[in-house]
Amino acid sequence: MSLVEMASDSAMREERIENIYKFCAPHLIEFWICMNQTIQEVVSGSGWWGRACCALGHSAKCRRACATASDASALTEPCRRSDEINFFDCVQKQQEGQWCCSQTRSISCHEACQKAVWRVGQTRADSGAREKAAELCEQSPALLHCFRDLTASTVHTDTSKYLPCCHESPSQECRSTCETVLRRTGESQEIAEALSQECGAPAIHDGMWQCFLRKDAPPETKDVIPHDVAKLHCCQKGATINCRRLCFYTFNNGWHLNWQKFYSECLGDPQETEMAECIEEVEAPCSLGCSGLTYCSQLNNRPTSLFRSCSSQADLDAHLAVAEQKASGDVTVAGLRLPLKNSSQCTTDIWKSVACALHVKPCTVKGHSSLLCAEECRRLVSSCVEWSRAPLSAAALCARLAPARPDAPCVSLAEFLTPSPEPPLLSATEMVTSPCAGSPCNSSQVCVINRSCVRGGSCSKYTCIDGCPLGDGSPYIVPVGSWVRVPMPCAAQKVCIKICRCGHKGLSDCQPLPSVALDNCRLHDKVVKHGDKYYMECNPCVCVSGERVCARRACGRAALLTGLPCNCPPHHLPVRSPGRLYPNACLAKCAGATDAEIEFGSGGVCSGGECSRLACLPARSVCLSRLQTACPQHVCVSTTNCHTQQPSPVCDTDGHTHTNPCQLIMSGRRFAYWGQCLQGCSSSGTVCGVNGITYSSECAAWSEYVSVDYKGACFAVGPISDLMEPKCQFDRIICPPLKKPDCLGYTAPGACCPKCGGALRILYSKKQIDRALYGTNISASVINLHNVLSALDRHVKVAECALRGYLTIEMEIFVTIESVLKNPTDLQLNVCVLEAEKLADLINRESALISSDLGLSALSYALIVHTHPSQGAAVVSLSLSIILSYTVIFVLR
Amino acid sequence: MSVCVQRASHVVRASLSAWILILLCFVLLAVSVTGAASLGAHLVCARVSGLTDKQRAMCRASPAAIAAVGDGLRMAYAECRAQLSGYRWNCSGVGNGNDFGHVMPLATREAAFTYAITSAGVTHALSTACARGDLPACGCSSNRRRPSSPSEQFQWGGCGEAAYGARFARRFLDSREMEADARSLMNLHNNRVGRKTVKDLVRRECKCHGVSGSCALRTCWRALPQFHVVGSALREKYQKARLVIPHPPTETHAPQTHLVIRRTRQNAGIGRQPRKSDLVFLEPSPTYCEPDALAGSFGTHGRHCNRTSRSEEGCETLCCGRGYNTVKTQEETKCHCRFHWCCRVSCDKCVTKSEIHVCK
Repeated sequence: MSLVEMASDSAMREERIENIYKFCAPHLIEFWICMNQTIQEVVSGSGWWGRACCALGHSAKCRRACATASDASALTEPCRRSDEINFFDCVQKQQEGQWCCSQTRSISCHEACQKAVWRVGQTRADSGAREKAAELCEQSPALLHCFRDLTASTVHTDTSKYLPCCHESPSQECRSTCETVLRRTGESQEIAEALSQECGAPAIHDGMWQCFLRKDAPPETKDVIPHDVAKLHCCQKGATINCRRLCFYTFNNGWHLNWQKFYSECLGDPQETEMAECIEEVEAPCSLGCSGLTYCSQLNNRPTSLFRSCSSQADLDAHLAVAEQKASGDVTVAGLRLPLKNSSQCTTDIWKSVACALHVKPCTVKGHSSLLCAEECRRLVSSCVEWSRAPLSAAALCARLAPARPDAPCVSLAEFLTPSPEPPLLSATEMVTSPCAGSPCNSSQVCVINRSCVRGGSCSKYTCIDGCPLGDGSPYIVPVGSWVRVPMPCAAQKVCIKICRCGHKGLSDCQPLPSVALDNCRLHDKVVKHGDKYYMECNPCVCVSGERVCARRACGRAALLTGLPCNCPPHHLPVRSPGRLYPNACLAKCAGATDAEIEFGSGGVCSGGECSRLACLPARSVCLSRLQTACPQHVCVSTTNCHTQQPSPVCDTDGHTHTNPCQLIMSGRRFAYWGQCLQGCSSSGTVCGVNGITYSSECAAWSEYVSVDYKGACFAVGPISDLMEPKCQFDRIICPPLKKPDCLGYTAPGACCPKCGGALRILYSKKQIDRALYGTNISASVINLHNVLSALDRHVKVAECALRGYLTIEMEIFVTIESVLKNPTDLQLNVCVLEAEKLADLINRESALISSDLGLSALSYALIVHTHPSQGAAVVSLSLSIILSYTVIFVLR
Repeated sequence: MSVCVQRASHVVRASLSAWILILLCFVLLAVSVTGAASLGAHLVCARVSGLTDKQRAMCRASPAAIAAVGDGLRMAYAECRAQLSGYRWNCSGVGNGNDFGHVMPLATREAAFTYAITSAGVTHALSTACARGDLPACGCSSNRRRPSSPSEQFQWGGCGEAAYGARFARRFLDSREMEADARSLMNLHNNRVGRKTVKDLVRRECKCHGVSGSCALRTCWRALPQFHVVGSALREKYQKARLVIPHPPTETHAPQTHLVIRRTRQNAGIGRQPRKSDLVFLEPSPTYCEPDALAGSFGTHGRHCNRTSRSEEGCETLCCGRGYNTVKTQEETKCHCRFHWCCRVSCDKCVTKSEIHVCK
């Protein structure tokens, strides 16, 4: 029997002392003297409430002091507060209990209360004693109040979220008790009692209790930005589920732990080339042309080839690699050291071109792949490397450098062995430039090409605008104001995305999109997998998570009738439905507008009292979804305090740029178009845009990314076909001459005149846009045509080419890349066509650069439609006759 | 609530029923306030023994961080055992119970090591959790350091750095020291050594982009060390720990007491302050040969030792000269297994003999 036990429990003491009487003879006088003294000492302080805690003392000194103490002051010396936290905690609780119980005058209540608060917080609270105390002390509300505080229990409505924590315990009894009690009740006192009985006292270094804490505050995944958003989009392209998962962990938030494993296990695997190329594309996208290399000079002057990293750094690296090979006789390829043969077949020149190709990385036009051709690789390596001393075989090495499938696009080294076949460009007017190559801006800025500054002069060829990197470890920057899709962890076969806005402090304001299952599409006779492309009659289609995104052009004979959707007549009598202009009422109805919505005339949007007392400026906006209700066509401008308003440059009719519309109105000028004043276009003279809308000037059309069809007001609608030919045979319509007689080009759907340049018909998923607009509370203007086109425009890297586009009457986005020069050379025209094809490839491959942008991700399928001018006179005459007959009918009406 | 007040004022004239209504309103209010608190806080924060009031408040405010602290403690206890496995005092008993905070009765060098490794473990675990994005309070991307030398694509830091972890660990662990005595000064100093060790071992890790393995173009970031690296760094400090005394002596009760290194010679004057990277202790260690609860020693009876070694783990040192018993064991295991098509596996039997030496 210990002193502490004796001191802390009076009932036990009495019992034990009786035992001592039984077993110890009365003649042991010294023992009894000592015993009496001890008991006296113990009993003298037994009224002190701190006795209940004595057993909790850590040090023996403290325990002994407690057992004989009669108040708390005796404890300060022997018990060190910092070491005896538990003990002092208990003493304090006891004191509170005592104070509480002294609130009554009734003796029975006091006793019952004392019994109930004895060792409160240390052992199981006795519910019987608690009820009895509550019953006896009904008369003293003050006591009841503090008593309730001491023995308080709270009720939790949702205990089911803590159920998984039960499985963290190693003990079977604990697991089952935990589950039962969490299912049965929500009362914290009861749960705590049940758990501490079966699972032991709570501890913060025990998995089960930690789980309870973690469930209390689940990590806020909404605003956490992953390590690299763009590369996270690549993870879906993984071939094996293992690499997909590892990729996700690596680029989401486990970079430090997983990157080495990911890079060695997944990116070195020949199966995973698609994912590896996607990641490479995020780090360095392919762009046209290469120049300025000193060592790999045979790669210079190739404006029509794509290169991934045409930089002086890569040039130097290649040089170093060859120098090292010369010195040591070994060559390092894909991280492996290979000994070389001394053979005449393998001259330094060959290794130089290999080293240059591996560092500067030319890419293929289709698929943007930097892998070498397998056949060539094998021929080269097998003859040059001393395979007897190499760690692996020639085939195994080439499997790492070349694509796995034999028909996959690959880079042929033979092309890059000799200097460029292109004649050197002498004059500045023949040049093709990409001012943003070599990232001239600092690392948190986006380089935007200033396309109106082609002819040089004092203007800068590019501007740096603030942006945000897509995550902590991302080299890819998007400009401020864009919305980014960020993948989130999700169940298999589903895609969970949140969208975040790029602000001045990085990505923020994230909100989750409704999750989407990667369903297959069901056609009448077959099932098409998500992401696969197929044909419906003559129309190309793609399956996007269960939605069939198709072109809707009439096929066969029906197409010959008028060449317009719903066989509408080709006359131009503009009508307006909310958010859009159509060339005529039939086409508006065909696109789904109801009679009530259609208003005749293209009259000004600011004619009525839209803005009441504020000034009204037209601001055309093309919304991409029919469900989009708010698609404002004007802006109301307050004319007070111009200086404090947001900068939003506007151009007036005199060619002056104003920092915001308020300044323009206050200076008394007339509004021309939004944005900085453009150069290289005529700022006067009405023109008809290819979208069938009459613009006040060429510049105004360009400011909305619209290409000019012909001079003068719009007069007709051209029949739709992919042929490049003049389509409207009217005297009033005088098509501008082609920039080169036999160039690749197009006639835009609904437009009349053929033009030179690259052209794409882009099909987009309306459901995806609707999901973003209705699943979240972002403003409807976030996804409109202008934003989509300006995001696409950033991927066009050649300064001499400009992107134009509009929403066609077939509800496709028609994007063209045309030369901004008046008299371009063949090369300059050709480069623009290649830029268009590059964009098409990015979209069709679902590149991470496309799928990380909210607006661009809706673009599902890009069809390349530029052709050579057609000479088929028969077709022209046929359509001509149809047009004539329709005009006759129209006139007769 | 506003409805309750309206109701209450409305019926105040009707005497008895009004009181009942007001009471009901208060009960409802009380339930709605306490009901908002979460179950984890009730079960863990309020009931774990050994937490101070300030620590309980931190626990309620950021439960996820406390869960990470728990990870750190577990990691620290395991590392403590692994690092000192061959020593007479092998960290036994540390972290055995469910109480928070192990109490070392004497201010020895072992106590210094225990405090330092605990503080390092907590710092490390909090920083890892922060980098993983598990902790809502710690932001990562804000203090990015991007532009750097042109050969590097970019560099980032912030998350991997132990700044957040160290700050939280200091607030949480140091709040335990409520006295202003020499022992508290020693504990605070050793806690700081633990945090500093983690911070100092944060290293730069780089990934090279060169095709041929050249590292001309690379991406760099700051990465936390593996915890066993921290552990072995602390063990070195443990061996070189300094004996200190409070100055001015505690008897004078002067304010601003600090620790100074004890000089070996008498009358040598006041020693210098210990370095911020040195572990410090106040009393010499007991031998740890025999069990002694007052000194925190479990004795070395029954410990396994290495017969051939002359160092700490050698039988001579570990068994304190009491000698040892040698136990011979034979173990049969399956080995050289072969797979026969289909489907049978055949194995040989291998016998491994081993000798274990156990201290008397």
